[in-house]
Amino acid sequence: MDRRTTLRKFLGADAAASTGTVLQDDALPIAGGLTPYFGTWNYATAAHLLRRAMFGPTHDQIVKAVSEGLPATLAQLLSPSTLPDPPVVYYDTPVDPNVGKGSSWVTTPLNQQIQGNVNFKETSLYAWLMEQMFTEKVSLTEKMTLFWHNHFVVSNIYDPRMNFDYITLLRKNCLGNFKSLATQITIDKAMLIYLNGNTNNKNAPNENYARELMELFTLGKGELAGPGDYTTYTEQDVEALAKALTGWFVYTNRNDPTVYPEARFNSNAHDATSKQLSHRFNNKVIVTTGSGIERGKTEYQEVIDIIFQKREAATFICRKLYRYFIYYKVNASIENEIVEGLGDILIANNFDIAPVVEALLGSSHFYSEEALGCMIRPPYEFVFNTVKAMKYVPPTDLAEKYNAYLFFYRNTTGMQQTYFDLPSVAGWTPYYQEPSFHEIWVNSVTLPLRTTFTTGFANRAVRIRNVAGMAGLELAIYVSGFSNPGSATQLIDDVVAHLLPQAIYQNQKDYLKTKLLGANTEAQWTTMWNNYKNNPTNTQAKTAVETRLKPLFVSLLSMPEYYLS
Amino acid sequence: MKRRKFLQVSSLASVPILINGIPVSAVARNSFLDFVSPDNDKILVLIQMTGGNDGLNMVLPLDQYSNLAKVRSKILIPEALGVKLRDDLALHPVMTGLKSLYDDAKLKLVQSVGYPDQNRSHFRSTDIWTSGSSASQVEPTGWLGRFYNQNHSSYPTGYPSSDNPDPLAITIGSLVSQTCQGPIANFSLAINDPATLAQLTEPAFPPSLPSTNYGNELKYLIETLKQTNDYTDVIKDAYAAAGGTIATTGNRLLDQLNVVVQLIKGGMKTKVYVVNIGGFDTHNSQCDPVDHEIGDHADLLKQLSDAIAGFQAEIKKAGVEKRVMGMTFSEFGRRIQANDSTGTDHGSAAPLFIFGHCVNPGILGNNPTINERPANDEGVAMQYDFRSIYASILIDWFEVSSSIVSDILFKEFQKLPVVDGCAPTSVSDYDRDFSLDFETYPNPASDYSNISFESRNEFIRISLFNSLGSELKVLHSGRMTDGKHTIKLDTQELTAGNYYVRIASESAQKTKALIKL
Repeated sequence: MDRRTTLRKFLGADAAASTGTVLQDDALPIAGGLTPYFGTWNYATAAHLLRRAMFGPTHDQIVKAVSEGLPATLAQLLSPSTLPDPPVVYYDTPVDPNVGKGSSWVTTPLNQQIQGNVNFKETSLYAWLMEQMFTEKVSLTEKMTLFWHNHFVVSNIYDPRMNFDYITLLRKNCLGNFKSLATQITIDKAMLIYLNGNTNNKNAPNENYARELMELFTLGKGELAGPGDYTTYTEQDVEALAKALTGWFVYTNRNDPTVYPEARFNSNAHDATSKQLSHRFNNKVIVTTGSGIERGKTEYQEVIDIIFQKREAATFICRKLYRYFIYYKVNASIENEIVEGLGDILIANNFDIAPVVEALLGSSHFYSEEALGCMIRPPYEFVFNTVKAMKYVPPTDLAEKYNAYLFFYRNTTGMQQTYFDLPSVAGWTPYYQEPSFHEIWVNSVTLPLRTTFTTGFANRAVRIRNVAGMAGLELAIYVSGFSNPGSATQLIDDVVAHLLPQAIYQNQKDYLKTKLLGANTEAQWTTMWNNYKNNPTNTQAKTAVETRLKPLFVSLLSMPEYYLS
Repeated sequence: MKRRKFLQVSSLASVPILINGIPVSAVARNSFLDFVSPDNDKILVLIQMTGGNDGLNMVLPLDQYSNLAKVRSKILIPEALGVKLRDDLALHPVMTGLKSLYDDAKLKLVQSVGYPDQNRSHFRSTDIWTSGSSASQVEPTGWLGRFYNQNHSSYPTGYPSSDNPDPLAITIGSLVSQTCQGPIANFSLAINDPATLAQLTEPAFPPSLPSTNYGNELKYLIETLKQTNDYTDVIKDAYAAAGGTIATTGNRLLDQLNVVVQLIKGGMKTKVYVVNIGGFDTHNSQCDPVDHEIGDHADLLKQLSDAIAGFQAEIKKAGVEKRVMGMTFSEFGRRIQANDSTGTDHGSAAPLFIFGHCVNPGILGNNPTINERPANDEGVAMQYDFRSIYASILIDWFEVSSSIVSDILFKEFQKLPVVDGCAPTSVSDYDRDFSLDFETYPNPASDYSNISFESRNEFIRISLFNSLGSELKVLHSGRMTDGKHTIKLDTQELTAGNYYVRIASESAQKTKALIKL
């Protein structure tokens, strides 16, 4: 079947998979293409979808997705989220007279004279970002917001208000229109600063943004076809677009913190000459229009229009989505069947992203062997899958809660993924660096960090700065959610199905069972469990089961299989 | 995949390796089956200075000070404070450590290293330096990765082994170095602190792996886990044998290099170590607004200089001086003009250091020419291509045959006299007495300028660069006859500003400024 047929089938088909009961051991089908998936819908397939589409699905969420079916679950994932409440001041010092503890600082003046004021607000933003990933229900919002952060990269620009506005723009548009987002991001304050659009003027055009706009944000760089000709665009186009984007700057005042930063346009700094594009853009000429202070103000929109007339504007982002949701290897048949097919869908939908994500996550290919369990979990996914799927309860006190989230922020930093601190404008290396791609996440330094993290949480032996007591997982409560925790065999089958991406071998199950039982027999475990279940508030009974559950989960979470999703 | 396929070793036999007509003796020493001499025990330590280092404040061209004072007075180091290596050249005042290395004939300073068509993006320029490719070529493997791949193409499968018990390369830090990226795997192992290394529990592994994507990634993870454990023992043993933990010094670079010292002392056969010092992206507050010799950049340079001197002293004490050589690099230099924030923006070429007992000591190259009125965005013009240095190290230090080096670096590069003394083969193909010089007149030029020079019968490349480091045109690239030559450069179409003419022969090169009116 060629991809056109596939596409027609997708566009015409009513993507309805049957609902079904939980069948954990069903073999998964091997199928390819973008044809909607109508195969078995069970715990394994539902877990696969939720693991890839969100952070750390719980057992309950997976069970619910099984009973509701694929279309309803996809609809739930794709439904727009309301914007979360903004980050707040969580600390007592430094004191900022403009905003009190518990209130949000995102629109208040940023007085840089107050020692630590900028820095603490940055930590508030980082903790809040972790909170969004941690508290989110069944939704694609956070996963897609992170996708765009890795795409339209901006790192810390030392004004957390602008960083917040930028991330809000991404979150609002995360399942919206790609072209519209590209237009808005072009004159976003943080982006203007990060890629020097801020200093791009007619006297000294700065090509930084124009270059990345084509190379990394929309078209991708093709083969070198001649001097300065990258097939998709040329050096001449970089220069021309840089000129077309001149005149934008961020209005701020260092000495007056009450001035809220704003992207503004100065027509005097705009290059009003005609910009000649290359044959890669059919020799198009951009002519400045408008008059007075408006002269050239809408030219950036024309830039985006011109770029988005090229097919690569669709296929480039679809290839990236493929690597983000499925796997990094894109061979010729995936390129032809999937990437080009998704590109067709994107173009047919005027660059709306949601239909593409829906097609991808609802495709036969997504549920095929090629896609199952092969993604090395990036740090955020790894950490939140541990604490969120296994129901870690953060502190309720505001300062302690933010500090707990900062703990996740620092740990994932060690594992080499940090919001607003990407290694370069190209994004996190594992998403693009050939030939290793996401294998780069795991090496001899980051592997022990991951093990230390899961071991600490399984043993409830984590000390978090500025948080009283020991933090960790409530394992007895977590396993209570399964059908029959008193049966060692059933318990292991259930937690493996929840936490690991594929069935494991008998020797591995036996290994886990020895960890659970220690010197006890299976019958003794059942007794211990029942004793706890009948007296859940009895500390001794709880400690007894926890003493056995800790080694089980320390071992299970150290399995290489756990690093995959 | 467009990656160039390496020449098979057998093809070597038919290719006469001649540089300046002299057969390169290094080739004969190398076995054709194993192009790296099995007994080569040389070690290279790479110091990556992340962010783009301001070379003009690190190595002060004293003969250019009057022009520098006009455009970087906000950050310029007072002339009198520099640590002089020569009458016309001094190091930053804090770099006394490197000065003592220089006096001990253990330091090579190479001036104005860069590449044509300088890319001023951090990530792209870092890619270019780590991959050892040209500005226009996107190359996923690293230059050392391609070096390792010659003899270890099956890595990581089967490693460590009795023949190769130690990590082939080590990166001190949390990420493996892109310099060591091979076509399949990265040849370097990341280590933070050997003292805290501990065996990870190995859970029950699956008895077999499916040949699916899942199986492939699971294989990678199991291998990484096993390899981390395997190498953990080797590293801990070496570390313990060398005396174990060294107290931290407050100098993070020295702390990293001290780990390297311990591992070398402990007997590891690892050939490449990569360490990193960040913070060179000094767009603002590069120095104190009043006392320019102190501040962020000074702190970094002091760390660098102290760390290299401290490392060299330890290496000497350990009795392995003849086996270890180091090199610094940064993705680019900074602009000639200071900006308004007591800082500098991304520029072009910059000097780098090569250090060790076996370097050919001294200063290679001329001081950069600073124009009276450099353009806003003008950087230092390149004299040496960084790949010339890579080539020289591979050939003279690691004993790789020049034709394979040409393959590793995608083309042949001029070799520079950076290794000397204890090098296994000192290829005496440079004529150190021959100095290439040229004149441009008229200069400043309006319609044209004549470039006159004297060459020998050899390959000559003459090119024109703009102030951004782009190679605008190549006026000549090919063999020239013995004698005097004059080449007319048409400058009519150039916009007014500063340009550079660079002439490179097989053994020398020079860069001079040309002003277009």
